[in-house]
Amino acid sequence: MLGAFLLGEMESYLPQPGDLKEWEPSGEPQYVKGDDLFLLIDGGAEVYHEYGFKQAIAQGFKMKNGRPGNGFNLEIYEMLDPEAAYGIYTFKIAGKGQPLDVGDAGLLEDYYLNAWKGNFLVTVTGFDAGKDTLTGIVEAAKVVMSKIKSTGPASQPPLVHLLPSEYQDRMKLKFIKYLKGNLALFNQYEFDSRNIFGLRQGVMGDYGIARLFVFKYENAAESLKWFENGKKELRQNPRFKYVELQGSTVGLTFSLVDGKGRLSYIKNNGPYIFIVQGNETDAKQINEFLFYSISKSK
Amino acid sequence: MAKRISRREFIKHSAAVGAVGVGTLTVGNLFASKTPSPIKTKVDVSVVQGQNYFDAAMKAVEQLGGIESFVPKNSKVAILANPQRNNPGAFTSPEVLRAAIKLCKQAGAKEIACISYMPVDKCWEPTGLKKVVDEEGIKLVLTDLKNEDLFKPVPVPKGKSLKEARIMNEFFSYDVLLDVPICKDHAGNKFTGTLKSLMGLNSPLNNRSFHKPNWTTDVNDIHYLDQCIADLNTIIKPNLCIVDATEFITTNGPFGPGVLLKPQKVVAGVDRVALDSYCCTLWGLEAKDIFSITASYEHGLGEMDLKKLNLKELKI
Repeated sequence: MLGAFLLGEMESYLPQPGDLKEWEPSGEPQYVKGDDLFLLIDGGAEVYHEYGFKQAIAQGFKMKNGRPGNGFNLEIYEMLDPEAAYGIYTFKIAGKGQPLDVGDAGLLEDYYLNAWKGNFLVTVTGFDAGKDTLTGIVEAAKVVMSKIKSTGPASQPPLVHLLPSEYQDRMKLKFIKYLKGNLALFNQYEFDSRNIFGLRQGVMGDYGIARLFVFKYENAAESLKWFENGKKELRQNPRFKYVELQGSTVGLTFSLVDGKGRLSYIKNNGPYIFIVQGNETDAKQINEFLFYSISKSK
Repeated sequence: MAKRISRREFIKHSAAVGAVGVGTLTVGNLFASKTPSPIKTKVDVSVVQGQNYFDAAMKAVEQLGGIESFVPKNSKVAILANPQRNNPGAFTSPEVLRAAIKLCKQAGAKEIACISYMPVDKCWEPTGLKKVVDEEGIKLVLTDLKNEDLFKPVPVPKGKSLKEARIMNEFFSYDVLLDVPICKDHAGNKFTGTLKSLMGLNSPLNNRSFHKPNWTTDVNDIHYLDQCIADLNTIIKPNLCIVDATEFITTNGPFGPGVLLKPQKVVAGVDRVALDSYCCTLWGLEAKDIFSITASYEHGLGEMDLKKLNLKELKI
């Protein structure tokens, strides 16, 4: 039966008794596929579907000597393709932890870690941030990754390479979010609850004092169409102060300021929409960074 | 039939704590309570901060005038806690739940139960909430989430998006509802607190429809979820909300793991719009940007302007 095969395949990735030095499975694993992801992670399922979700399995672990209170949860998500797995990995990380040599990339943050490899995302959550638990979760992630077959050398989606690694030594790329829809974008910044930019593929780079968004479209005509739509909607959104910018880019650039003084320059260029965002007080720097980013993209 | 305090006694006591009136049971306006509760209290949002979360919860209700204003003697009380999953910061603190139970006992409740459709082995036990239920000697009444027959269709006359809810049958067996949620991030709509927690009474199948209109794959309007949440709140009114704002995730909600914030606060009141408006500020959000709050406000369910609220904060 196909369903049983899929379950068996996912179960085969789980650490088995004996795979981990100090830990063993606790309880039965929980397997879900497709729309049933809702049963595992409730309302958090939506963003997985936006990236492209196939199936998942979750298993709890406890210490072998039965010490109460210690433990961790391990989840393995198979997404539809490596781009989706990379995307949901970037969505979940806060970007401030310790990089791990696990899978294609991994990050240990406080009490949990995320790592991706091919189509797969692995999340391991400790119930505490003690040394034993953190050692255990890293070990568990490595075991899982060793069981997942590699699909080739790790590669980030090409769009990610449009993000400059730094700008004039002042701004360095700290972390990346890869976006595949408005829900992921909404979690970074609330332009609108509706998909006013028709976002299907985008990337955000955080540079400390500024953030750069790049949205990619099929061609320049489509990009312009969504740029004009976004402009129309944002112009009448009472949450923003809208400014049409003058000069050679009339009609192709505008700016917004929100209630917290965050400034966004939004510019259409070829098959892309570029957005640079920062504090109003850094307007000149942000504007320069926008044009620098565009020039690097050509 | 449970012995109840007289309506005159209850109204007199409610007036003493500043309630301006009592709710009435109208069509489409479900109260778990067959005995009305205060619709307004002198203190709108009671906040207590402290390292002992049990004490903070007890004090938060004390600041409202005491549990007796909300739980009549000999009543049957249903508690709605959030046992989501045992990822840190994703579930109601066991000590806050324990305080809610103790308060109900203090009020002389005849029967106290946690009602839920979340499974025991994956949710209630790993979070430690089952242990509290057992230690306090109350019931855990579970509904099989896969059996739609165990949920009763209820029309939502004021619903703009949600026209019919499906509320678990067990809900109707109780006189009083205490909502004991955790406030935290939610990837679907930025925030979950007292308003969204009532989805825990609504069937999972019906809840799924909140996330996608007609369960299609075209998610273009995050508003839809929030409007459904607000609509659901027009038909259910907890007698009291005790919000766990002690330690919670501010990213990757509702399930986590995510960045943990630890304000160590318990927040209590009856105005769900006010409570959520306060709680979202704990990690820099504003009520006007949370659509479930603004939609609920537009339904007339409470006040979202913190400047208009009587907020009482205490550190213990």
